[in-house]
Amino acid sequence: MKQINVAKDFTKFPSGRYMRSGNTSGEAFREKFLVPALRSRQEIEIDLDGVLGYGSSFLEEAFGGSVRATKVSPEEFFRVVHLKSSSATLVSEIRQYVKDAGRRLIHG
Amino acid sequence: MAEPALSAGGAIWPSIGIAIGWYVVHRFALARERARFRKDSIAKEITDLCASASSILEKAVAYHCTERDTVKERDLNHSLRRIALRIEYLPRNKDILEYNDALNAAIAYKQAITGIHFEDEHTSLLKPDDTVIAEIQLAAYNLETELLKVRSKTFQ
Repeated sequence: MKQINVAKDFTKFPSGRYMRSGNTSGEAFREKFLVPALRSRQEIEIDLDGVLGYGSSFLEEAFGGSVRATKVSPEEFFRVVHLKSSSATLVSEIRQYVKDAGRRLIHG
Repeated sequence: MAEPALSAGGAIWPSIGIAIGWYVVHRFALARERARFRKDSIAKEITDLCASASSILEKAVAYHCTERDTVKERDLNHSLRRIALRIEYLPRNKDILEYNDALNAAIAYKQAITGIHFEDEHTSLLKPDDTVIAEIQLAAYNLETELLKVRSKTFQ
């Protein structure tokens, strides 16, 4: 399984929703790591620790956005993407975005 | 006339009884002390968390109603992360879902502040009567309510 450490492989200061704001945005993270993994079904583990904090817009665009972009179900998403964090709340928030995006795919 | 000497067994049994009694009383006192410490810690931490939530509310309203400021964004992200972490690590009983409502309220608070009109989406100033601000105020109130419920349950 490929290991991705957000702080080391992306940035310690993730910010923003869209790439137009820079390469530390949720969209940039999604396109760099999540979408390729989901398209190739290559399992990845994302270590979320070591970062100052994540704005909800970053997380929603990265994780919810990858479900919208690849049209995978939340179940399939979590078969491919494994989350690692010392904060259960952070993981819970991300799961919520993935599930919400999956629900919207089904119900339009 | 000389008194009969106590048998060895007669001297040991009362000593064992005293030792067991001391151990049981000591264990109960320790458990009581731990429970009291846990309650006091939670009460103090909840008071601090309510103050933090209130301080974040002021900062969030100021952030959304003034020009974009990346230093304030980092401060809000960091403060919101800390508040969730502090709730997660409150002293627990065996019930792992004990603080779930407070944690969900912390997530909702964070979403209200950083889910919209935040970082790159902060393109214009909000008025203090904007619905985004009202949602933040409501989420702050809900978080404080859940925190106070935790404190209240601790003393039931």
